[in-house]
Amino acid sequence: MEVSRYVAYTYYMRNVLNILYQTAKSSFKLRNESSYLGIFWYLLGPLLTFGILYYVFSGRLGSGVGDYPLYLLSGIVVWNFYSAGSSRSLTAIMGNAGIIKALPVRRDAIVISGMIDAFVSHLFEIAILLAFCAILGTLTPIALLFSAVLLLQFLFALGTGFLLSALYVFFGDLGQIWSVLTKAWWFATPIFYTLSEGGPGKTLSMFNPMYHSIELSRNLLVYGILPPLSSWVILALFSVLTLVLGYAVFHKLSPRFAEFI
Amino acid sequence: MNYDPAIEVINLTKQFIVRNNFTFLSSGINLLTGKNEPQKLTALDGISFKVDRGEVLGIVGRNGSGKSTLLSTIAGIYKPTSGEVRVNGKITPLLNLGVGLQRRLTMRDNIYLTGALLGLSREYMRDNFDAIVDFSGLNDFVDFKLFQFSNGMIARLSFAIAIHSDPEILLLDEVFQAGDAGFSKKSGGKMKELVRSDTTVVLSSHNDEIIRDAVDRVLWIDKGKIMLIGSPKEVLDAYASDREKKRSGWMNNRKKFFEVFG
Repeated sequence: MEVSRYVAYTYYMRNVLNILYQTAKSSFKLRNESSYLGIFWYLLGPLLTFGILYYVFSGRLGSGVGDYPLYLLSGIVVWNFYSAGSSRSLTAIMGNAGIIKALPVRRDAIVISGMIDAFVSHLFEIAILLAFCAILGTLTPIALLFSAVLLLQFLFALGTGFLLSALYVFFGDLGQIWSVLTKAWWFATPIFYTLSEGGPGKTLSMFNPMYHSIELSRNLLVYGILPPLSSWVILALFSVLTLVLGYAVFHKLSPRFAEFI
Repeated sequence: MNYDPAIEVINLTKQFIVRNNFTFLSSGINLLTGKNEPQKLTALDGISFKVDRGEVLGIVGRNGSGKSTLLSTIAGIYKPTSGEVRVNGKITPLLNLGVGLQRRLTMRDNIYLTGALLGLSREYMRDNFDAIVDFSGLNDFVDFKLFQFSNGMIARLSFAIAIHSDPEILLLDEVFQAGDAGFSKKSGGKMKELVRSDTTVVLSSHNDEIIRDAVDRVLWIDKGKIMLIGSPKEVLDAYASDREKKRSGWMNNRKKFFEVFG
């Protein structure tokens, strides 16, 4: 009896994985119209932001920052994954209304697969960032720890994704609210500027998970130094708590999704 | 004696909340002004029945009588407000033709994608790929993208995938209108084959002919309540005479209207 239950569970998990794989592959193909050249258009956005900000700020805000181009690029790339991933999962449930209303597919699999798709695109940005770091010679063995940061960033984005996708079903103006919120958050996070030591921004940023996310990445990839433990702990706490809260809300609301979309 | 029905619906009630404040802004305003009583609409009202393994059950009823809600609740898409649905076996719902299909992907990609959504493994889909394509009769279009397909072709494809998904319980919601006559016949034939192979089928249809030919028992629901359940002839006759009564009632009203105002 126990064995058959184990077999059934394994079979079930394989099904879920297959759904994740097929839907993420499909949406990736869809976005790139099966050509895989489409990824260059995806990279164009962050590269444009980088070019403009670099042109505007390299002589001003960035003049005192070591390796300002990499400082800027790493900030933009890390931010871009969170912003792209969260805004994509915002519409994960509403955008798949047809499936939700007609097939008893696990609802969380749909959100996860959207996030995997965003993550795969993000890997191309990471590759470019790493290439620049390698060319400018900032990569050290410490950079390997970046994979752990990536995992935490993924979990944080996923938690946000669960929360947003579930709430968006019930509140149609969440899209506008979220876009304004992320814009404010973007300016509040030191992406193209630095925080002065001991200023009020430094204290506030302690509660900004994106600050830690970006600081960890910069320290590891650009400056080759071991980041402070506090940053690891704060980002990990934010990631886990967001995931738990997001999933709890999603789980509570998901039985009613089909009725409201 | 171990009696084990494929589907058991016990005192099932499903209510929908009718609401029109779908924004934070309006919810907040309603909260402040205290103007917020959600209205409820009862789509299914205390329904109980059983479907035996291998049985084909037809559901008839007028539009809005609760047929689709019933099928969706059995499929596990809607959660019952009260009561219970017990299902023994793997369900393949085909409630809406073309669901899960991506218009910008090729037919080949779509077959694998839909297979995954129906819970089928990649190996299974690889083994059955040719059978699905052959059944759909769309062999020349395998690498075409779906946006170039007609509605009839899409219907063929969806039906072909669903029917090859090795269903233990198949739920069909008005899907027989789709496709041309030849394909409908083929679908019907395949369905008969499924019936022999011990598959349970629940289908809703407005087509009396399909109900009469393909179905073992018929369930007639109206306004979310069971009116009658029994043999196709018995139920269809009762349903037809009810329709006739309603129509003649409407005709009488029309006549009166013209007597007064004409």
